[in-house]
Amino acid sequence: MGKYSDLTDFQLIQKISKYDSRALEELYDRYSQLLYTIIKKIAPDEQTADNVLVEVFAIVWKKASDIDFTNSSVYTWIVSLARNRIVYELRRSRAMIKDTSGYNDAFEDFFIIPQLDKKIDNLDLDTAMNIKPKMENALSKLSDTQKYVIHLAYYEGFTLDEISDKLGIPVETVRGKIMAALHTLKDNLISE
Amino acid sequence: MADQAIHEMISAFAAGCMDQENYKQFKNYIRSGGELPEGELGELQNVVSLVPSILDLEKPDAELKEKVAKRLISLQDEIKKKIKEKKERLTNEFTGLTEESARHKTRDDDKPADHFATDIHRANFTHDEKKIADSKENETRVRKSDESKQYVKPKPQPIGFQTQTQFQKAPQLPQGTKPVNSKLYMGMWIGSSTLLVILIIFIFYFLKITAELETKVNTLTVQNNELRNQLLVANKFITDYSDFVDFFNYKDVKLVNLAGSELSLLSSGKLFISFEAREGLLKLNDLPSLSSDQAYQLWLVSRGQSYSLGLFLPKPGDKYLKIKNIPPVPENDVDLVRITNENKAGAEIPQGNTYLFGTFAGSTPQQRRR
Repeated sequence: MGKYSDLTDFQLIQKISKYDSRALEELYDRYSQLLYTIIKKIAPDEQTADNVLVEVFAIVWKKASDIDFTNSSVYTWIVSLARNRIVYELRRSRAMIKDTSGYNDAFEDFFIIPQLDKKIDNLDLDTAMNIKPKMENALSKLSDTQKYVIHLAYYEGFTLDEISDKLGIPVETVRGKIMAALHTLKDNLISE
Repeated sequence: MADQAIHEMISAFAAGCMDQENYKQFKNYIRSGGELPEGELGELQNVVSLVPSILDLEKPDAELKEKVAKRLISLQDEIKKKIKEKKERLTNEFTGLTEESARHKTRDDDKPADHFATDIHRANFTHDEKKIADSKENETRVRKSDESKQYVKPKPQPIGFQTQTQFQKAPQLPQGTKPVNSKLYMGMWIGSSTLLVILIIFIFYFLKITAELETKVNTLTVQNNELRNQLLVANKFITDYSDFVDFFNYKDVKLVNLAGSELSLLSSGKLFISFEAREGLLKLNDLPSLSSDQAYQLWLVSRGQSYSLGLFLPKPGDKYLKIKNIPPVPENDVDLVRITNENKAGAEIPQGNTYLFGTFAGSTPQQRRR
């Protein structure tokens, strides 16, 4: 695997888009721990977490050839993909919906595959892991409320309305709090 | 206020907490090229994706990698279908392009019906195709205008009546003035048209063959990947079971089927023992989880005395457990094999409850002793 382990995330995803299974294996070796950690934190149960991790890599395999990763961020894309996919399962489980017939290719393309900004900075796993201490500091500087709304939105998969109901505050306030939390987090991270 | 709303929407989109309707609207807005504050969404998307980077990483079970490989194999038909559709789309594009060129040729004959056909077809073009088509159209238009100029030119002079002498005098005409010969021109025109048609046909077949080759390469890649995945699974199997295969080289391997007690009715197990090598392999199914301060202990009971064969905590990914240093007990003296729950440090004699038990397959120890 020597050769593949030297490739950047972008180079790997380009090879995957040509159905190179060794590239996918390398991507799995590189990302599976992080994705599994995220998925397991959000998943309603361990079985679902296992299944979703497999599905995420199946989606990468199927859809990489349809997506232009030039000027994109593979790290952000794949983390968002895993998060979207497991949040879908969490919301389904929360609503106690067993029927999965609504989940088809079109649904996946629209609701699960992340739509990243065309002007996004490139981020890869190594960079993200190097930023970890700064991210910890940046998060610790947020107020408790800001941390809580981020937790509810990101890990608990609640929508704005649901957060509003849960906290008993108007949805407009929730919108403002999410915005303030993310912008403060961004500013904290820059100042680190 | 409107600005505030767009910033809030960007944040909610990046955090993934929009409800379905707002998500649809916002995503469609982005897809349709709607304006957003430059780079803001990307920055927040990156920040949000970094949030889970602070979590303590957890390694997934090794079996999941195998499952991914199997899932990829199961997707091969879907991928092949996708490649086939891509190929068909590509071929249709080439065919459309060639037909378009043919229409341009027909248009040279000034048939108005073809203009409608071409225009309708052009309306369905993708941007790139349109560019190609437009460049060809321009080419034709230029040629047409050149032709019309050349047709007009002869009018003042009745070329058909030019004599040989006049042809010979031609070099003496003022500079920039070219002699015109309609037959020569027609010949050149037909020649260049034929050449153009041949060229188009050549390009069409070249692209078609290239597309076919690409499809074949893709299909081979998929097959190659499939074989590689199968090899991966086979290698993993060999790695996982190499000890197992080695073990069965012993000539005196005996089997003990273990059945669940009333505490674990759904559990079962198999113990393979070689008394000569004093080794064993234990395979367990559906043993209940124990509290964190407990472990399972395997016992061999011979003539009323229990010998410990080891402590273990079965994990979901375990294929089998290897047992070493089995006490030198004569095979015929073995009464029972059982598994009990004990303190994590282990016990000298069985003190916990029996979860699995069994005797040698085919006979009871008492019979054998007799």
